Amino acid sequence: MPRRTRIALTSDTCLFSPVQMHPASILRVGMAALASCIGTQLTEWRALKLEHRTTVVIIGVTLTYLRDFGFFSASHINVDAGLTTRRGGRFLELECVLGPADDPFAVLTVLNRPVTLSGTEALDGTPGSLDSVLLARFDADEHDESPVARPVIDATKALETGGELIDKGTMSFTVSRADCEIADQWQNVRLPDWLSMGRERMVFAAADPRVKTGLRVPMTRLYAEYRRPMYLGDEGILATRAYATAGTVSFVHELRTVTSGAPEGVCAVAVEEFATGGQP
Amino acid sequence: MKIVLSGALVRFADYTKEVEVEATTVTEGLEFLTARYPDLKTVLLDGDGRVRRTHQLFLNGEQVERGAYPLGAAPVSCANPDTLFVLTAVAGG
Repeated sequence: MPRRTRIALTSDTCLFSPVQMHPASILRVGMAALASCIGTQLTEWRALKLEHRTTVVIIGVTLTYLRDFGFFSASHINVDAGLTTRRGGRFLELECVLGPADDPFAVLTVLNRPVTLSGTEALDGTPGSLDSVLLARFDADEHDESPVARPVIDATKALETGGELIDKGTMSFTVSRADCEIADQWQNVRLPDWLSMGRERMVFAAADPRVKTGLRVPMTRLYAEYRRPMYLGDEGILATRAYATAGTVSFVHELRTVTSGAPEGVCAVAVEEFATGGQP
Repeated sequence: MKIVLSGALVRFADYTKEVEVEATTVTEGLEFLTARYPDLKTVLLDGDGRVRRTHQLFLNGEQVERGAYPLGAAPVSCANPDTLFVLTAVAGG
């Protein structure tokens, strides 16, 4: 059986909104679980960088809320996590189950890409694979050769073909050091907050009342794909489209850099889904 | 020419994101830049004076082929108001 890491987190009010545990809080817990799993299954993360010139960056996130769970639901949050290697070390996948083992309230899947570091103080690197030494530290049942899914692409296509476009908006932002990790590169856990800011601007300006679903009810799913990092001082723009289907209102986000001189390109795409209980 | 640095590099250039340089080629621009900010030199260039594979150069939005920008290689011309962007592929984690 694949190895699992268990963490018990004391609940505090900042982890939650009035309707659910913040997606960013769950991603932050996921980062702690990732560090713990790397330490248990591979080596301490510092040693991964210093001795193996390797690190990992998040390239995809799928968060599914299974049931209502708020601050008053429990005093502690149990986290059960495990790390598997995908496609011969080209990817690492973290699965994180939150809540009681017999009744979890959320499942987070985080797809990571190993990065080979150049060895400079900038911690600059290129996408790579785990070397044979690291790969051998995974148990036999922690290797998964199945194709890697890209749910955000599938979800976006389904909404574009089967949903009704009900609103769209844009928001500008600048990446500050508080948004970054040790290399002055954006923290992937900050993405849900930027998505939320863009969505909320649309809610408060909405002509179509269905857009308010984006604040009125808990999120049911978040899919995100990180394509190109942003860095300290980079300027970005978040473009958001809201779609309604028979049972959901969803927000499709595209985040681009608009930093002077930078090549054009999408840095991240994401879909947030909110269930309307069958009301169109 | 203006050189714009990736945010991963600005701490090696005294938190300067945009640098005006006097240069007629990309190579001259990089020499000017790394002379002004010596800490940036070891981060941006390898031991042979080549821009590390972890960074990419874009002149007015067009990628400069890697073979064209080691110091001392065939020059890539530039002039005002050109912008050279130094992009760090990925970092940290």
